[in-house]
Amino acid sequence: MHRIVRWVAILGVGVAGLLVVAALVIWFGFVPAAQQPSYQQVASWGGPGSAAGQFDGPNGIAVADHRVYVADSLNHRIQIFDLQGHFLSIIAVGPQGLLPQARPMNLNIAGDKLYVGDYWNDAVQVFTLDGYLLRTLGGQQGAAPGQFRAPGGASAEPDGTIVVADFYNQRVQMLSPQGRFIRQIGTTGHKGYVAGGSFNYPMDVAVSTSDGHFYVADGYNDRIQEFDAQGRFLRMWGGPFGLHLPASINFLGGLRGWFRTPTSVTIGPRGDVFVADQENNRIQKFTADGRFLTAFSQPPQAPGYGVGAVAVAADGSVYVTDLADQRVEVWKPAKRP
Amino acid sequence: MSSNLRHRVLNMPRIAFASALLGLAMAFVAVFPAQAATSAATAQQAWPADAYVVHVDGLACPFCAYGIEKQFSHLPGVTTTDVNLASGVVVVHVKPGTRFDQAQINKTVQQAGFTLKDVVSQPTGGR
Repeated sequence: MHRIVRWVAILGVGVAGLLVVAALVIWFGFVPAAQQPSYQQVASWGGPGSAAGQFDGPNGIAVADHRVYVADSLNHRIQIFDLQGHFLSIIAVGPQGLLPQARPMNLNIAGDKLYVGDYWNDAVQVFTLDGYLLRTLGGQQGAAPGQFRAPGGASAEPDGTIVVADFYNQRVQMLSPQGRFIRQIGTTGHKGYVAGGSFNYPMDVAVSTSDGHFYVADGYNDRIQEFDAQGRFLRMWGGPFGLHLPASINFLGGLRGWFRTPTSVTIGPRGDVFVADQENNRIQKFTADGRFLTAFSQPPQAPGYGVGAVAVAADGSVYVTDLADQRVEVWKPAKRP
Repeated sequence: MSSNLRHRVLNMPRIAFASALLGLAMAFVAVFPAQAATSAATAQQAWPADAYVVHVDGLACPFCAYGIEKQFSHLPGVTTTDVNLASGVVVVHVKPGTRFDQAQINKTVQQAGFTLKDVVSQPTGGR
């Protein structure tokens, strides 16, 4: 009897020791300290509804040319504001606008064009910054090259190559400016959990204007992947080595530098990468090569997930959509104490 | 007297066999309540309803909600779909006379990338 008790005790101490070692390795090896001060919220606007300036599912945001574009998904429109939140105009469903029943998701601006992922119509639409429709790509659900299945976001490289997060097809497509298929990353319809270049519901893309590198919000793999302008995998991050560890989904995903469903990614004026870390209700900021810089958040007043999407203005102000409170928030770097 | 009668009844082979089956079923429901509900639903081939209340595993974000809403919108007879992310409940409203069976709903949920836990039909107004 004593021998059994002793072995159980030894086993318990051994397991506890392993857990402590694992915790120390994770904490010191994979939980980076903040390198920059946090941000503070300085303004917000919006609220639930369908009137001008109100939102129902603000799932995307982009900023350029002193204007803020918000994908108002369930109102089937994109609203345009000035940087202070004053309503300017709207891109609505119509012959020169969005497709019927449009469900615009992530928005991205590249050059002088606005790229819209229309989740409902399986299309990518390209607009001028004044809201004039230039081109509609796709529009019929499918898995063939150049077709989409619920694209979550799209953007373009400096040479015009369009990059699309093709959500249900588990791939990223690269298309010519006219929509001709060039190549894809990932295996159509097959989720990949570990290897770089494989996806588990890619939700958004962000393209660097300096070198054409692009970043993919690999949503349910809880990581960001970076590729060069030709689509070659460079690196990934979000937990140890960016590998999708089951334990990271709900248990460890809240650690600094880790994610729980990154839904939106964008690049700031200095090349830093900002990620909307939805289930953690926070924005995380990284260097271009994935080193953690800082994070910031504020819980929504209404129940549900707050953070939806993120964009950064030329002056470094960060614009965030709050899905629970149906509004847009403006954040600026906090002053050092 | 009553104890003696109970003893004789329980010793009848058919009664004993039925009791054992009932015990097994109760144990199954206690251990696997979701599967039991799904099995019960499967037994009904196609139910007329005003709405189907679908419980789903894995709903997490608006992408999920819109995906499952979009997938149900492709089924003939569906009018609207309400998704509650927090509870993982999808309420599929249908036109009068619409009938879905378990397999159709299961396939739709799977095509949207999720796992069906169970389905409950809300009866039509006239019933």
